[in-house]
Amino acid sequence: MARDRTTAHEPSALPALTAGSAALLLGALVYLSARAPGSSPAALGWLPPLSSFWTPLLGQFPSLLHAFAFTLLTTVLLGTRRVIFSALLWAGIDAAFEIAQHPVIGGVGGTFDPLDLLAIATGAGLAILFLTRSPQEGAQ
Amino acid sequence: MTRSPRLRAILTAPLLALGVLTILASESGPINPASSPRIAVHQATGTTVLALLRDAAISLNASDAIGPLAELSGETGDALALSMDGGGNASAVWADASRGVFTARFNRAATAWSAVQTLATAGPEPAYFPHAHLNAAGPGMAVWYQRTPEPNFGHLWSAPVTADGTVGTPLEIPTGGTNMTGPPKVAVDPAGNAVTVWREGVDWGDVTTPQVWAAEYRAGLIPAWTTAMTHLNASLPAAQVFDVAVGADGAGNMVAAWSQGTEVYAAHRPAGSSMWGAPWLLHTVAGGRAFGLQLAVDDIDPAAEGSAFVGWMVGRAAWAVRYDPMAALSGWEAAIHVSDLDMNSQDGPVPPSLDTNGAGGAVFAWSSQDPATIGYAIYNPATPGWTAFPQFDYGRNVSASMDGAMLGLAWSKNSGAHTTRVTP
Repeated sequence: MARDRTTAHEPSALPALTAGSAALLLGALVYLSARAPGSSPAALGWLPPLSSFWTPLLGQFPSLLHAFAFTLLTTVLLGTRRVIFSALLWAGIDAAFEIAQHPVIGGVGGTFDPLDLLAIATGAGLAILFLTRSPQEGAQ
Repeated sequence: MTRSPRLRAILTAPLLALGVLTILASESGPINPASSPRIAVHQATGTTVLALLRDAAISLNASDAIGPLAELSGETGDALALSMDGGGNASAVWADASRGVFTARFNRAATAWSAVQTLATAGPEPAYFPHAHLNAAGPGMAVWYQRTPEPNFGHLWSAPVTADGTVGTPLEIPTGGTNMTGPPKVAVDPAGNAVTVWREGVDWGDVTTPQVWAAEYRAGLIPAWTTAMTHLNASLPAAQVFDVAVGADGAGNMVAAWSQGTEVYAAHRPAGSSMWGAPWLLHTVAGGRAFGLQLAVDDIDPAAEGSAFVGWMVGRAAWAVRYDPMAALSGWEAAIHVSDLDMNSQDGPVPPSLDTNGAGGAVFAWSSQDPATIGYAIYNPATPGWTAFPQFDYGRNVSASMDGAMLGLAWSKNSGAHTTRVTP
């Protein structure tokens, strides 16, 4: 019986799925804890805010986590042969929304921050590293 | 990885949607145009007056519920000032560059706003920078700037307000005349006498001949501005003047403060005199300049009469200095770094808000142009010292007012203008 050529050398989805889900959860926690209630629809103020010491450190962290998590999850669906495609897809989407916050464009509420663009690129890059250097568990 | 092409097709679209939705949920929405709220509280009655650029709201109870909004004017405004007297009456003064300067008064006894009164029609002279002060005893004054063609550049105007709320005929304030005059600030004593301070220069960014001037208004049978103006910073080395402020205590003593170069100065004028003392250096800023300087003078409680606070921003840092009239030497204490603006703010601070509480205390609130976490601090004379609440809420353009133990805050955020009253 012929093997599925597409997935013949695919690693297990479990590490990527786990890491992607964990990154999403962590990003949600940042919004629930470090962001003031009302600062965005996701900032609900469920947890007491962190001290101002952590606020600047966490400012770009959700952007990094978003690009990282969705690159992983998309690759789980599309296969590791499309790692670069997934990374470029989410880096592009995230960057487009960030750039749309620039006052010159004014398409989306929020604040444009070039450091967010750096965080997005870093997140997508880390996802590529994670996927290409993961042990080939479950390889056929 | 997922082996079924069908499963991939089914899951890819929801994953894309989830990704975009999480982006949208994490971004802040547009700030409501109900910006630049100004608040004033009156502890004795719980009266809280909130004025927005277009609307005003009143509350006569001691709860936190304020409203509904009563629209004073269907027209827009560019800048707004609000001041409350010791009886809980308030005056709102606003300017629309292309239309003019307008005022309305809240009468606490009648629990109603007056009709809008036009102080000036802009016409060819656009109106800017309204400011108003009602002394705790009742009388007040509104001042503003109107730009004129070169070579005069601009005129300063005023309109006195009597204790019963009657607005007098606008009077021009004497200035240097041929120089660029800056935003005027006014303070009124219990008798209705007033002092206006402003900056002048050959242009807005003048660093060679910057001047801080003060003019005196005498109430009486023939109320008028005297022509004896005082050049407050004549003895100082030339440096660009940024912000000026003036305040009056309950006895008629006047205090002026201004930021010049990297320094912050104050000068005093005793009640009944027109002679200003020499400038007193309050603080030298390291690595920047004082921005958005504010001055508040206690004019309510005789026991605290004359105490004053000056506050300003240096970058993201909020600074304040206290004046104790009973202290030895100058009475000015060392400037204190009170707290910091949220690091997430991108566009820098806006002028902070400062008010005394009539009992030796004060509130100092800061925010940025860019929506970010706003903060405030309270000065407790019993401790003594500032207690900061640097992450109070999210928003911008915070306004603070304090009377006795009642603190009122107003600010803009995504969902509109927000207010709260707390008793620290």
